Amino acid sequence: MLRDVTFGQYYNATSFVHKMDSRVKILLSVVYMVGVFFVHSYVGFAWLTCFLMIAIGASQVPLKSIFKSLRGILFLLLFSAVLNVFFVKEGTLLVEWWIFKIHDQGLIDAGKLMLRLTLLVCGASLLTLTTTPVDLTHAIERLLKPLSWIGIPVHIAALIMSLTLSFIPSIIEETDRIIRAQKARSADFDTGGLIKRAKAFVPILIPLIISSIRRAEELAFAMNSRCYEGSKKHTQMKVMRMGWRDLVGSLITVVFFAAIFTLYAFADNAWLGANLPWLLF
Amino acid sequence: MNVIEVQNASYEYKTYNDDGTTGTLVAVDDVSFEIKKGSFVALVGHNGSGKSTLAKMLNGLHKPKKGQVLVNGLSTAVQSNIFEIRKNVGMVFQNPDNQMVASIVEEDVAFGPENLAIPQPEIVQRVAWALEQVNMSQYAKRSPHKLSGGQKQRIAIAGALAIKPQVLVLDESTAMLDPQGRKEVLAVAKKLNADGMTVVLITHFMEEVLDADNVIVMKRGKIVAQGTPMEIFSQQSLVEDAFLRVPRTVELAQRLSQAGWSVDASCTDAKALGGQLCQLLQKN
Amino acid sequence: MSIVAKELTFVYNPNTPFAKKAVDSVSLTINDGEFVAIVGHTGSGKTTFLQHLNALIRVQSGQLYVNDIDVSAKKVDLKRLRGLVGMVFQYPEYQLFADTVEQDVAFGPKNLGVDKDEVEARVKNALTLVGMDYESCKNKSPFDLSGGEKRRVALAGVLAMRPKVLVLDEPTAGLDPEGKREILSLVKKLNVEQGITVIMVSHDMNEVYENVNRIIVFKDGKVLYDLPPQQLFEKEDEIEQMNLEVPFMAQFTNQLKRRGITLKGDVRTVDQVFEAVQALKEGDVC
Repeated sequence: MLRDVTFGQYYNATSFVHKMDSRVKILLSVVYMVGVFFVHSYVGFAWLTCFLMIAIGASQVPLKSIFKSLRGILFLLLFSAVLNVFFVKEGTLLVEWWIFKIHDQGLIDAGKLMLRLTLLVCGASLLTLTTTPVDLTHAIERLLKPLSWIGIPVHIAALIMSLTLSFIPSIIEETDRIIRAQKARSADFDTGGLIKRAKAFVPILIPLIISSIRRAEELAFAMNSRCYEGSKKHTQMKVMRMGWRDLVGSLITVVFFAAIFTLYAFADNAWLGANLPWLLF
Repeated sequence: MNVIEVQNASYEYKTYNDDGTTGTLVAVDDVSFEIKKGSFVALVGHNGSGKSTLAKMLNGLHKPKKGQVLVNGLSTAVQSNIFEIRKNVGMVFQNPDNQMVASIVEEDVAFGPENLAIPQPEIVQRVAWALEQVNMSQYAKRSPHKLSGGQKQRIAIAGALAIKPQVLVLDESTAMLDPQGRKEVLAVAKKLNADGMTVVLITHFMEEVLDADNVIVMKRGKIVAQGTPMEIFSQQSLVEDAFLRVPRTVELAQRLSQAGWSVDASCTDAKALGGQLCQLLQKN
Repeated sequence: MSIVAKELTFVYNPNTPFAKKAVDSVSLTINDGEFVAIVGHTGSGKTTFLQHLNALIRVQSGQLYVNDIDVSAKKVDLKRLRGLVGMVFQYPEYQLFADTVEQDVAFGPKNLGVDKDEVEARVKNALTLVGMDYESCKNKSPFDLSGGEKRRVALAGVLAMRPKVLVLDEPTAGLDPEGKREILSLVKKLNVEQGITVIMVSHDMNEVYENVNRIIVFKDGKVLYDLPPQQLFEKEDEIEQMNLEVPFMAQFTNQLKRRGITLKGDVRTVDQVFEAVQALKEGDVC
């Protein structure tokens, strides 16, 4: 069964986070991500994790759904960690075996990298779990609006995103139909070498391209019939309003990240600094 | 009063031959007719008869190569008229999946009014009104692609209605639907017409044109007949020459009547026709 | 030699909250040379059932035999099965892909591993069967053909595999009355002259009524009725309740029957009904 792309991996709920303005959510996510790259100390990471946990708690999204998004990058996560463990040659040598040497700095870097990526992916998926792709498109269009003043066609870009979202389901269905039709003609997609397999996709790709062109033509007719004239002046039905939730959410974020940046600024001399050895483990 | 006048209009497509030369294919050939305000006009013809090309000439998607098409007196050949013309002639196409611009029903319906730069509060009103007209209000927040074909086409009709046109052109909008979906779309079209909307229905399902005020029959780019449904259907050979067929019930009624049975030759209800025949048989 | 399904059941997304029983213990037999229609609404399970016949969907539970092939077995000779059961999907012209008509029609037999000369003979034969002139169309691009021609070429692409069973999903969808008539008479010819078993899905009850010998009605994954057309549409109330249409000629003859007048013989087309009514008149005179 196909997933409904309109709702992407959206987790349907009516939580505090769901009800926030999607523009605010995007901006706060950007602040969060900058934070994730900024932080170097374990206190900092703890601070970010704490922030993320509060956000997840306020979103009513089960932790399981958040961690699901980590599965996709698990390999990347482990691979980069392993690289760090074996190739960082700083700090004290802990283990040496044949050509492998493990230094303590390698372990530290690997741990931090994994933490950083995990926090990043969890944060990003919280945004997409609480905001539909449609709302994201609207929000990005409004946020990028200033770019249209310097001649960048933001509205057209947003329209393309919206059209893509609405066409993906029918194109997936069409692909499925064509595959079945060619299979019924005994087409074989599963055996043979690379070239043979690549060739096997021609009977799928060509009908798909042709039907997409036909769709595009009909769509152009339909859009023109509904008075679409490119960049001409237009209005929007969808209203985005900020409410008290956005204010509260922003305030909490600001407080958290102000704390992190203060931490960073005093990192070299304050007692909470990142280079204090007891904070490393 | 005529809302649309087509005067000696022709349209041709460019064709590309295997040897690299180009040719022309005349799709609509010197066609003239009028559409009265508030009427229900059916445009019928075989596949490739030019009916769909002609439909697309009614709002300037195709511009006539010869002759002219006037909408409220404005010619579609003049580019500066096009916006005004499209505000007055709404159009719905064949494949419901290919005319959705948004993945939420109400946002799709709002597309037209947004392009007209209607103020936001009025767009909301228009969208609600349009969805109510096609009886799809409860689906406003849904994603259209999980709906049935008939429901999708009703949303497409709502999208056209939100522009508040005078004329609604259904360009083979029932061709890909199952009988249930066709019934739904046709019922909406008839209701809109009863409320004063001019409707132009392009189709090759002859059962759908039984209630039309005027039927225009096309064959190979030309109009071969025009008249009320019964005027058309009483000429069975003409209909079949145009690669179409008379609805089964009407055909039977006409043949029975010609054979001397005094049944209503323009009967469109098979059950009623059966009833009439029974009365005749049981009188004797 | 026939199609035998026993207690065939298929569930989409089994063991999840989205589990949906699409086919629910269907048992039926279709004999060689039959012309059967399968009707039912979207989601009635008819398409899922049919896709089992050439193993596009694998049997989950129950048994299915197509001739001597046990489709419910773990390993099925797919090539042999798909050569035996030709499946023509809705709007089959959308599957055309090759540079020329000839290459496109040859796709199926080539996949079956048929040798070159035999492929050519089959292509020629299949195109002729569907009423296309082989010499003039073989080197044309399939995309330059008219809508009706494209559909016939797509049908030829399946016929070139020499199937014994032909499954057609709404073969006349989108065609005008003339195009419908052409395709239906072609299918009938294949059934009568070539002895091919035809299973046709259609929403057009008038079309089904006039053409097939047996109608299987699917509802909620089950076979609700399995009857000859005239007997099926005598159940007017039940059919209407399912939101299916009663063919016009059946409405007419049913109305007569309710008033005690039974038309003799096979009265499904306008011609047949007209002749039968005329016979009544002569009967009266005599």
